[in-house]
Amino acid sequence: MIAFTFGLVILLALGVGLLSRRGASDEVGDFLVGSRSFGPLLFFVLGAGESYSIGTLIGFPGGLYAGGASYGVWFVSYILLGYCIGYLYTPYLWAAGKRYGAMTLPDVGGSHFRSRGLELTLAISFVAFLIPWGQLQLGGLQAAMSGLGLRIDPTVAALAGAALALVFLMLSGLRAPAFVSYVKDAALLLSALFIGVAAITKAGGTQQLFADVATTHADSHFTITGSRLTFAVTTILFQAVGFYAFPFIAQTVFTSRSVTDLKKVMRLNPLYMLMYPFLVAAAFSAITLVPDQLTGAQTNNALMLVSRLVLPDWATGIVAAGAALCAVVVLCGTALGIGAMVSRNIVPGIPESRQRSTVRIVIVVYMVVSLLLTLAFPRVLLALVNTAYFGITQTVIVFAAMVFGWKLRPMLMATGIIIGDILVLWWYLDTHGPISRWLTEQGINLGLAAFAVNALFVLVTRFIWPATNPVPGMRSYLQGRLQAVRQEVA
Amino acid sequence: MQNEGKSALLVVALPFLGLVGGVIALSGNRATVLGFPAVLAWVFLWIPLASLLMHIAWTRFDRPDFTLLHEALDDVVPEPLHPVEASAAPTTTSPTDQEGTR
Repeated sequence: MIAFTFGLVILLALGVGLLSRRGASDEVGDFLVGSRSFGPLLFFVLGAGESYSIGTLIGFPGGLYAGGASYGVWFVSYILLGYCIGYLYTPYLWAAGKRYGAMTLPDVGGSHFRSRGLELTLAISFVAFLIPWGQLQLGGLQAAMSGLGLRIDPTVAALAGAALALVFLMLSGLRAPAFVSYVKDAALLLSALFIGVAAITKAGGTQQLFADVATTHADSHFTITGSRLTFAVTTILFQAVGFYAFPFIAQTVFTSRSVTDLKKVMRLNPLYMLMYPFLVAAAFSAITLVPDQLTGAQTNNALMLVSRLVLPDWATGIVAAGAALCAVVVLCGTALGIGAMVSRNIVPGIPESRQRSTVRIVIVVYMVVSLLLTLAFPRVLLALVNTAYFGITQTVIVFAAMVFGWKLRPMLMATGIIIGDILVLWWYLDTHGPISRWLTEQGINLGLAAFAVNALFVLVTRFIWPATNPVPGMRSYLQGRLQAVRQEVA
Repeated sequence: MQNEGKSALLVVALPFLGLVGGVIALSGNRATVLGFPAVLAWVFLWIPLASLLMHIAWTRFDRPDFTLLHEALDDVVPEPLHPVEASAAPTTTSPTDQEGTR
């Protein structure tokens, strides 16, 4: 029965993916940003589809199970506060995308500041730090499949996930994951609801469910103290700021057909997060229900193990399908984002007519690299979320300067990004080094520490060597446009 | 855009201070709300609250400007994308576009 409902949901997704070909064109703009034509509903579904990866359905409960309340707090808070920033910021990003005909974030940064060096720095930094994101999706997929209790080899599961993502992308580019997101979001929300309610019912109510955990894990799972609190707070701040610097999240912003639709939809984004209390209940119930203590990468299996204990087989099939589609849809967005950046921003001079085929080649390469990393280095999923943000958030100064028109030289912003990236990689890899050890002991997010140096460098150079002819910000651009329309109306 | 400051206070400053401040204040507290740890319950409270604050910002401050902006950006002709292309091709910015950027 598990296999039946799992297969049914995946088949439904395939059917919807095929439907996405209707209305698609061969132009690269349609392949990458859906010709900037998505209405509010499709835009909302795609935005949610790309935001909630398998990190939510599989990684989040696993992280809570292993790390306690601090993991739940930072994970939910940073997305929520990311949306708050997005409500103000995304209209500027969308307008910049329209103004420059941009399809990637480096398109926006490079064109706004008229700097090839900045464009290249952004693109290389994004591509490098998006590699863990593919690993996150395929690793989560393995966990979802291995927790099913079926005889599916984890390698085959990861291969099948990558192949399915490839099929969707070859069908119609970004339109396919957008359409498949209807099925994925329904499966994800139903999964969270089913498993949360079933866990609460089995425990005899929420009070009893959490009271059972409190007897053994009161400190770690009910309170956040010392360095865990510092880590939670620094991670919330750092990752909330970086949320819309994720290239594939930004790419979804470009798909909206109008800035008014975009702003209206942004109000609704937080409501999608009402699924998290159900996932928290499921994660806490894993502590008392799963007989063996899970450790390391095994904790990724917590949700699927609970699912098999509290849900009927048909519902577990839906949970597993939801997890698989989360991985596949986000893998599509990530691969498409990387393909777009390589063909438009890193390799120079590829005409738009040939970019679509180049994007496809890069997508295949990215899938292979992600697969190899997943098979060679199994990791705790939420740790991979942190790793991707380490580098991606280093770029936000560029986009803040684009909005506000700060007097910053593009090459100095690019240098700041490189400094941030090098520092964070150094501290991340040199785990026994004095700085890395001190930051970890204090609980300070490594990415935030590197970002502080990056920001300090940019700030100091802003006063020593400000841009003599700074590019006006998008705020003044939009105000100018508004003023022009008001005068026309008057 | 005229009321963007008020919108920013409501949608960004208030949730950042409220949510993070509450997390710090409740971090050592073992109290529960419907069984959930208080610190997690506080975070969950901000989910509908954030949406509500955005809705208030939209209806009270942002709607008139963004309805006009839709019209203002409708006829934007994309500027050449890459600096290299920009030097090779003539610019196609409209008069209003230039007004906004200078």
